[in-house]
Amino acid sequence: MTLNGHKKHEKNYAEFCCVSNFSFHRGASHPEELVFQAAALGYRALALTDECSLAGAVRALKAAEEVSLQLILGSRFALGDDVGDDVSLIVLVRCQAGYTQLCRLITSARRAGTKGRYRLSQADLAGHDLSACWLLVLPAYAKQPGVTCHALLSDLVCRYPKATRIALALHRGALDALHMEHLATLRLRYGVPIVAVGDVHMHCRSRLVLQDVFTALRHHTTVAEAGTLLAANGERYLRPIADLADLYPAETLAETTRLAAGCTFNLRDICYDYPAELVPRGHTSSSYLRNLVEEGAISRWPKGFSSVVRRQLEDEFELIEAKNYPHYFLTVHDIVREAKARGILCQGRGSSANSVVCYCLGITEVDPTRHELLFERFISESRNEPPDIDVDFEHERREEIIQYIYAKYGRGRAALAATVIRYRPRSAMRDIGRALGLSADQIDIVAGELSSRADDGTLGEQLAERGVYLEARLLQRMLRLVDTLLGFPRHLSQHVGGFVLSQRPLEELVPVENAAMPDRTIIQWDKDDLDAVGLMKIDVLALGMLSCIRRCFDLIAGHTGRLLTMAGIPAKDSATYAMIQAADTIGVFQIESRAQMTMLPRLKPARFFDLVVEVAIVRPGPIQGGMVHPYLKARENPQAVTYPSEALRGVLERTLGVPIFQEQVMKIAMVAADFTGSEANGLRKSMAAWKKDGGLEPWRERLKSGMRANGYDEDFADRIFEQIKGFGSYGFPESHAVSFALLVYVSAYLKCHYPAAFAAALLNSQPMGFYAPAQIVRDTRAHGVAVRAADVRYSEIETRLEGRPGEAAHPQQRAALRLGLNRIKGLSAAAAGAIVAARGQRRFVDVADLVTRAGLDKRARNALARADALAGLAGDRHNAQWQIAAASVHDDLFAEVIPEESAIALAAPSEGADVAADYNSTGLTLRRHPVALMRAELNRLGVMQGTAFKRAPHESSVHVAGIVTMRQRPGSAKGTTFVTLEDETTSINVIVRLDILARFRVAVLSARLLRVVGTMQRAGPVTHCLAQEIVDETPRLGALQTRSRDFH
Amino acid sequence: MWLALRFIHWPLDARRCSTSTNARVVVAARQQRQYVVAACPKALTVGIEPGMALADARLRQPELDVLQREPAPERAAMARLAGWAWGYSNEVHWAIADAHVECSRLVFEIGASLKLFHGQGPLLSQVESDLTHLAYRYRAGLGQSPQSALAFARTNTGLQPDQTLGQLPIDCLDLTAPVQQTLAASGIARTDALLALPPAALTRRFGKPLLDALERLQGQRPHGLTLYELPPRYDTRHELFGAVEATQGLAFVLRRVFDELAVFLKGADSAIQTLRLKLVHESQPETALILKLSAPSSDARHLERVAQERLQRVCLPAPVIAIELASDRLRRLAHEQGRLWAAEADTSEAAWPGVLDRIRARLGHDAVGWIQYVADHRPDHASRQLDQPGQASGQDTTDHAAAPPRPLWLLDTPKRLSNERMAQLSWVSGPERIESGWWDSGQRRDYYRVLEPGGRQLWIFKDLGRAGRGQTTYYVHGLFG
Repeated sequence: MTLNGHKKHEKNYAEFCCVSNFSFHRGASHPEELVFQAAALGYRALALTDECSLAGAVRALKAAEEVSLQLILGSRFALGDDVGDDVSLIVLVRCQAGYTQLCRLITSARRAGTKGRYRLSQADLAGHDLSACWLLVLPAYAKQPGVTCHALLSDLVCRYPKATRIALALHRGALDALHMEHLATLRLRYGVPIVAVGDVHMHCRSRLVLQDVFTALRHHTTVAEAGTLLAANGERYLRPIADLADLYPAETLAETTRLAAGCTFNLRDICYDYPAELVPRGHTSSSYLRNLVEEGAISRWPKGFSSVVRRQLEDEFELIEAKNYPHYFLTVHDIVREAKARGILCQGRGSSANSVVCYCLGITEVDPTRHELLFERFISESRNEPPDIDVDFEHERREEIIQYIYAKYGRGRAALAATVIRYRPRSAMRDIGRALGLSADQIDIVAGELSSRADDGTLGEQLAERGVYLEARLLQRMLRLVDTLLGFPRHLSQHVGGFVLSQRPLEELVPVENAAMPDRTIIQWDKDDLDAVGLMKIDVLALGMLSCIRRCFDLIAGHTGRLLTMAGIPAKDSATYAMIQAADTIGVFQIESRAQMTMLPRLKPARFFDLVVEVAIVRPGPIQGGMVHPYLKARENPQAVTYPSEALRGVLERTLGVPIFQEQVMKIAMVAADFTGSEANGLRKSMAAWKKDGGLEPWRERLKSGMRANGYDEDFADRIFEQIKGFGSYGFPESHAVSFALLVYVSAYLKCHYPAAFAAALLNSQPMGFYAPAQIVRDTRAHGVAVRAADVRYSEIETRLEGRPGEAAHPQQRAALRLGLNRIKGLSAAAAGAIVAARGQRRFVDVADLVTRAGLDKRARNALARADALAGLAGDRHNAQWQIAAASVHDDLFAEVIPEESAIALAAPSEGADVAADYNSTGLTLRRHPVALMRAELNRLGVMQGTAFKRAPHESSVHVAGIVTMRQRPGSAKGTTFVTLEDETTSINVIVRLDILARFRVAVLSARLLRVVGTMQRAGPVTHCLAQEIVDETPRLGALQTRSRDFH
Repeated sequence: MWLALRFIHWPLDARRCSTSTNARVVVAARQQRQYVVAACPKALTVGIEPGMALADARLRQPELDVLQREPAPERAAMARLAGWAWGYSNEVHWAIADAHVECSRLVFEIGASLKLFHGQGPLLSQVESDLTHLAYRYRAGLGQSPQSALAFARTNTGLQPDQTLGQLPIDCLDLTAPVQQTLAASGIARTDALLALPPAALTRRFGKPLLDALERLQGQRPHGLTLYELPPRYDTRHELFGAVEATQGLAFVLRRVFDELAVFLKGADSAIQTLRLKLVHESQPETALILKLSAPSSDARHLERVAQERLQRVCLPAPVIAIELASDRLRRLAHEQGRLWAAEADTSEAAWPGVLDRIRARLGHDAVGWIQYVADHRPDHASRQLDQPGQASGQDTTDHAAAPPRPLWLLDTPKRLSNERMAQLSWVSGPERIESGWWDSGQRRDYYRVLEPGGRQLWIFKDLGRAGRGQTTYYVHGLFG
């Protein structure tokens, strides 16, 4: 290709048939690549026509704006049930109306198919108005046009004579001449012009390899076996216009520019309106919002509020009105109001906590004026992005809110945002391997090796060692393919909770398709796409801790009559802080993890802000950024902290000179390097994405030159930059940390003052958090709360508080915990409900009475016996099982017929058998700890108890054993594995270094009972056993089934 | 007196493997996870055992050959072994592990044969030596009923004459999982405790089937198992683990295959006269040999020698992945000797190679072949020469209209065109661009149809992959009629 060629044909061609990799397993280039290439080749315009999809449209738009290329939106469809490619229809958008028509067409075709598929027949087409689109009919190559083709053309020509074209695609095949003849015949018959198209699948020829891989995958075969299913050559790329001029008749090329001139639609012009029905008559959206906020402000500050608050409120109002966001706030307010009306706890998280308006509307619970929060981070004047409000709801009741939204706005106006699932090393390897004919087993091994390391040239040998022999050339080719495939979209999935709502039907704005879950629909755009075209979404998220807190409030109300609320929890409670400082935090939100617990005694949080820091600092980002140790040191000696300048002192003083929050990084950039607010925000966004996309380097220069100009030394600038990098996508914004810290404080307060209620609430909200029920119960008992076993005579469905067995606890009484029937494995919720209901009528006299009145099936009967929940009715487990196996549900008519049987003497189970059965059925035991039963043998081996271990001096040699309750291999710990053991006295943290892991891999990763010889690592009250020798003692457990929670 | 054999690693042992240094396991999927169902001795020594998740097994032995469980070869191997057991008994029952049978097993009555084998000891040691020779790992149990023999075979203790049924833990009994669990949860651990319970109490809890099972166990009720019947002919298939390439490796495998034939014929007390031996290859037609003896024989070694000799003259087109054996009718040695030998005419297998052999006899073997169409864009990969007519599978009748025109005669190696000759040619059509096959020998060419001065139409191409800046070279690749 020569430059002259470009010039001569400049702008003479527009491509109307081009799929990107958003036509999954078809297109082999990103939309951006296609746009850039089309611009480089001097195309007049490019139409992105993914198959029944507009999912790549926003990305293409952004790229097209960058290079000033005319982007035309469109989509292609295979007609009929068999996607036999007999004929394809390409629909191109001409104007706003055409865009709506296309969105509707895609939506109805997608909604008619299952997830990821679509169905469009000629009859379906008849029901759609496509008058504002160009319609291109693309017949199959060199085949006599069939019935479908003729029917489609005659129909279209009849309805849209001016808008219909026949599309000619030529790829230097052997039958090009024949194909052109066929099309010429069609043109004569239907009297519509022929237009040239490239039927483009990739932006450059070298992607043929990937296109072949996709073709093979689509047909469930390998490239070597795919034969003529593959394209005959690599001509389906964006070809230079000069080449096209050699190939296509001139009038077909000229037609493209004519059609392109008729396309005037720009995606930026779609007008999106937030639902308006929330505004009562007589109000505008702003006046109504003001009303609500003023009301809220009075309840937030009953004694009046300061001028600072007033000023910020006015600032926010001004911006919200200027940006026309009042409807958005009203919508979020309405959802939160509904949740509160239903008694569902909710709390805004993320950047919305920066806003006083959100605080007054009850969306967030944190007073932003008390923390130095940046409203800029939430909404800014210069940033053309809609605000993003994320609200957490109780995880078990979020579905109610989702259903409320659907009911209120209707399914046509509410849908979830999409999440584009992209290829990652493992999935890429899997698909490439499959297409190249590797066996499933080989693929597993290669994918495993590949995801854990980059190829340093020895991958081939490594694989050979594991029995996978790949030719060097094949391996290289595979790696190259995997590299290209990384980041390609694979399919659309539903966003965790991001709702898009609109005033008009959504399908006029963006295509809607089916999600995997029944009755869920998703739009074809993801979060970033929404931002770009100004659609607003509300994140309706689920948080287990909110369920737990709500339950805890209910239990406390039931026991003491005290009605607690989140806002009503007393601040600055010294008992609570003392508990936190002692790392007595099992079950407390966020600060219960092993890493957090080892930090607490060193950080010694004494006020709310310390919790905010704790939440933000014990995370992979700050740990990798090396912020933890400087901060700890600064806390020990705050006087020694120095600041590079007075200006920076203002930014960093609160966190003792160490930047901990995203907002601080932004502010440093503004204060020290003269970034504008929106530049700083750009830096933040790159910070979040640099691991994925790179692109932090330009910021480094900008930051360093800015800092140099302000007289900061090079060294400091470098350090700041490294810290920014370490933040990666893990750094917390302060507003987010504040919201979370509030939950930390509330849950810690509840644990401290209402340990029984808190434990019951935790158990009833499982699964959540870091610990299994066994550890929660054990911790609760260690705090002096009596825990009683699940028992059909007394237990409710959920775990609850009781005084004397079976009676509610008296307000003045210390409550005990009665485990609920829901802890029993194999007992359905319905059966548990039936038991409670039957008992409500009268007490059970014996097992037969229980079974008959509660109507228990065999599964429920066995579950009860094995859980030892029949002890009060039938004695020990053995007898209970034997008795209940004989019971059956019968009506009274036959009740007398069953003969009495003579009692059989069954031996009671041994303690070991009971403990094992407890674990198998409920995951915990209230008897002796399993390790206690083998203590004598362990003593003989020289194993010390956990409590003795904790008293051992630093660096002394220790010997411990316990059940494995947790394994962790944090990315920030350089390959070190943390194992938590539990014996009858306490939990023991074991550190396994990489070299030790290599020696005892099997034991460390699979054993359920471990014995460890090592040395004590002590830092104040925090103890770790540094492992040297590890022995798998699992056989000692016998039939006992334990479970470890493993985090990798 | 019944002898029960339980084959714990049957999914692996039933399949014959070429030697490999790696540990080997067979896995099956359960709830979307892979579990080990059988392991080789080497895998057992590092702590891998049946029931373990594949991921855990890999942890113990990263270099692991993993095979998916396939019931068909297991069934075939057990059917062969049943023939062997026929030598000890005419009451033989077999089953391979499935949803209802927890372990592959072979049970047969030996009481009637004790005399023949000079007592129980010699008989058992004969069984042991046979099975060791065949490399089948097993556990044995003796009992008064098949069910009790199986129960003893489940104990880990080997054959202990003084052990009584009552001493066995109840998990040795073949009870359904719910019954087993309920009994265990009631603290009933041993068989004597179970047998001591009042029948009425048991029936009330577990229904009649449990009582029936207990009666069968004690031999108080007919065993109810389906018995093996000797098939009319030996017809079996051996799946090989991994493809066997060299004739050397094949000899090793054949030794095992004929070992099994030997024990079968011995057990069945039968002779055969014709044996068809098929070596199955991947994506190539199988290699078939017909071994015809002049008289029926039960001497498998003889058959093996014949086979090995014949194989030395055969050139294998591809590695062998399975071996099939099919005999003519089994002739019971005792009863049928001297009858009907001459009357047996082998008609079934005779037809197919006859014509071909006659033509080839005249023209030479390689002069006759079949061309099969292969779907590939590259002309030189689009057909394949076969030794025999291909199966009808490759027929491609769908798309003749859109198939590109190809010359009838394609040169084996394209011939370079001199510039002088190029100058004489006139263009007819093209270029047709063909660009494919990057996964093996990729090519990128522009093909043209051109006319020679003499009127012949040639198919020529220019190699785009090699075309540099300099002058382009053209090659003739074919000739249109």
